[in-house]
Amino acid sequence: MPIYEQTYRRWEAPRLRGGRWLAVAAQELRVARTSALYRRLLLLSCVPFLICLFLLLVTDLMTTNPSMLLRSLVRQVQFTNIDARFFRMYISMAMPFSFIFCLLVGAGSICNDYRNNLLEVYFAKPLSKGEYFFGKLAAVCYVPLCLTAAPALGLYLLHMLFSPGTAVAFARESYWVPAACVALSAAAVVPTALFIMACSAVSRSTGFASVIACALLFMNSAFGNVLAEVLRIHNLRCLSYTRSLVYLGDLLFGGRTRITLHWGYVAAGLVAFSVLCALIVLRRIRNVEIGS
Amino acid sequence: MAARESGNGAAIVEVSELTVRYGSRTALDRVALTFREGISGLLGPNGAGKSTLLKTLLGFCRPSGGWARLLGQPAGARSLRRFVGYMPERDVTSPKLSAVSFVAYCGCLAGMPYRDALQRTHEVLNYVGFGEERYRMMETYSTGMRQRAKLAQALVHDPRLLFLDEPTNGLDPLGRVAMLDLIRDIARQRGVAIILSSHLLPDVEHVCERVVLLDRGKVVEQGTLADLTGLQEHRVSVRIKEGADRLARRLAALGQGVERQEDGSLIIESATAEDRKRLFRAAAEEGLQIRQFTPVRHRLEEIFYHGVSADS
Repeated sequence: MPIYEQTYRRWEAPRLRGGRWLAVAAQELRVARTSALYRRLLLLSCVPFLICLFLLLVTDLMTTNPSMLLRSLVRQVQFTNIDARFFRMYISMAMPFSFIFCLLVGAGSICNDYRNNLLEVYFAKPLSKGEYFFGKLAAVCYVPLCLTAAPALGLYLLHMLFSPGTAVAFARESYWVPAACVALSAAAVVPTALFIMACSAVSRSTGFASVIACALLFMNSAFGNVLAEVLRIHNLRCLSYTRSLVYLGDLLFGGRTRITLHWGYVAAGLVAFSVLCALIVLRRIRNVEIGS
Repeated sequence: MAARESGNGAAIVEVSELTVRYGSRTALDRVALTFREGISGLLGPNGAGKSTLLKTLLGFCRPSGGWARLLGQPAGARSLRRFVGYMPERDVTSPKLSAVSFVAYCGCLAGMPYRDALQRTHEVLNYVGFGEERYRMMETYSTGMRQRAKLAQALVHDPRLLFLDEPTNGLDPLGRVAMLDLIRDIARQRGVAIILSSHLLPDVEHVCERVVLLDRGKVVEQGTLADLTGLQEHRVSVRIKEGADRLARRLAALGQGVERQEDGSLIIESATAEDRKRLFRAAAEEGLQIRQFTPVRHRLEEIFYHGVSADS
């Protein structure tokens, strides 16, 4: 006997006006979490952060404590210098994982709903295609950004905490690093997420979308690099999506590069690429929902 | 929500001169109809335009002419969809989710806070007959369970109007009756207006109060089931205790039209009082006992075939 009657009753409470994109994102992540591969990869993806955290702690503790015998030894090791390149290194280590998570969540994001006839059901509710699109995008970007930008910012703050003596000088020297971390992470994650969603929108299965995405990225990278080598024009490497990201990383974190193209062109290329992918996704959704 | 009162029940859906085209093909051709409170049947053969009409009312298809209003507002408006539930014809499943997660998610999309949506999900799933299987992944569900899950998602946000597109598709006879009983209960006990699209005449006859018959995108017939299946004054159904064949032969010899039915009764053309006298006289002469003598009603099947064949 139930505590109260559990049957069909009228539901009169006021309905929420916005925030449906959050419901879409939360549901997408809930579905992703049901995959054992996703959960295992989530654990594995903590490894770059743990490595960098270990290096940061060792460096900070040893360099700030004069009595440490290993102090001079640690200072000799180039990669333990905590500067902008250290955070760039962390983002580079986390990038493959962020791509895999984009693929895991994004590849099935549109095609599964389409194949299972769920779009009709969802759009019969007061859900707009914009809310649906942003919800899906947020879900695809959430974990990758949590793996790249958020830990990089955390490492930055931890470094300040663990080396209070040099914190002010470090903050003055590298005040731009947090912004650079966020910018590089966003530049890498958002276009990738949109690209994989577009692949999902034009295919019928998750596997097919993943294969299309990987193949196109590989071909694009090969095309850009081969063209640059054949014509001996380094700037043509920016035709490759991955090289564009590396170039932006070099610019943001002060690395050396042979590319001389203005960063604005690369950024504009990434924006145009993202817009194109978004249009492909929206067009697929529009086939179902055309209401005002 | 303004709804025009007229006739028997308020007008829930009003459609006028509605035309929908898919490229060069006209799916709906100047359709004009009104659905009122209660259960209305949208009847027609495959490809008649039933699903297109429902999708146009929901805003999934853009009309190329005419207009439609739902609950007093222009059809297709997104704000209107919070008052409308839709159970699509096609199989819907969310393979990695249980019915609870799926229906609760649909509640959230309709604007319900998650806690409310979850509570309401359990109420609705109980109502449509789900037990513990609600926690199983939907990919393991039978067709009947999927149909009920589809109905639950259409009901979770407490709609005022429910579109059911072929709700008994793929169900066994018991499941069909259970689904139709549920539909009747939703309309009569819960006060939800229902538009039931089907090509199955017994389903429509079982639950609907009004019927619109569509064929090739046009309205062929519409009205209450009682009006459409009205009495045929020139035909009577006669049930004889024994010897129906003898009476049939006798009447045929007298030049009267007689049809033998599968249940043993006779349908007799009886336009005039003289015809009826002749019938009773013949029965008396043959020594037969008439057990039942009733005017014949039009059957929905006849109306359907008449409407569809007349149109083609």
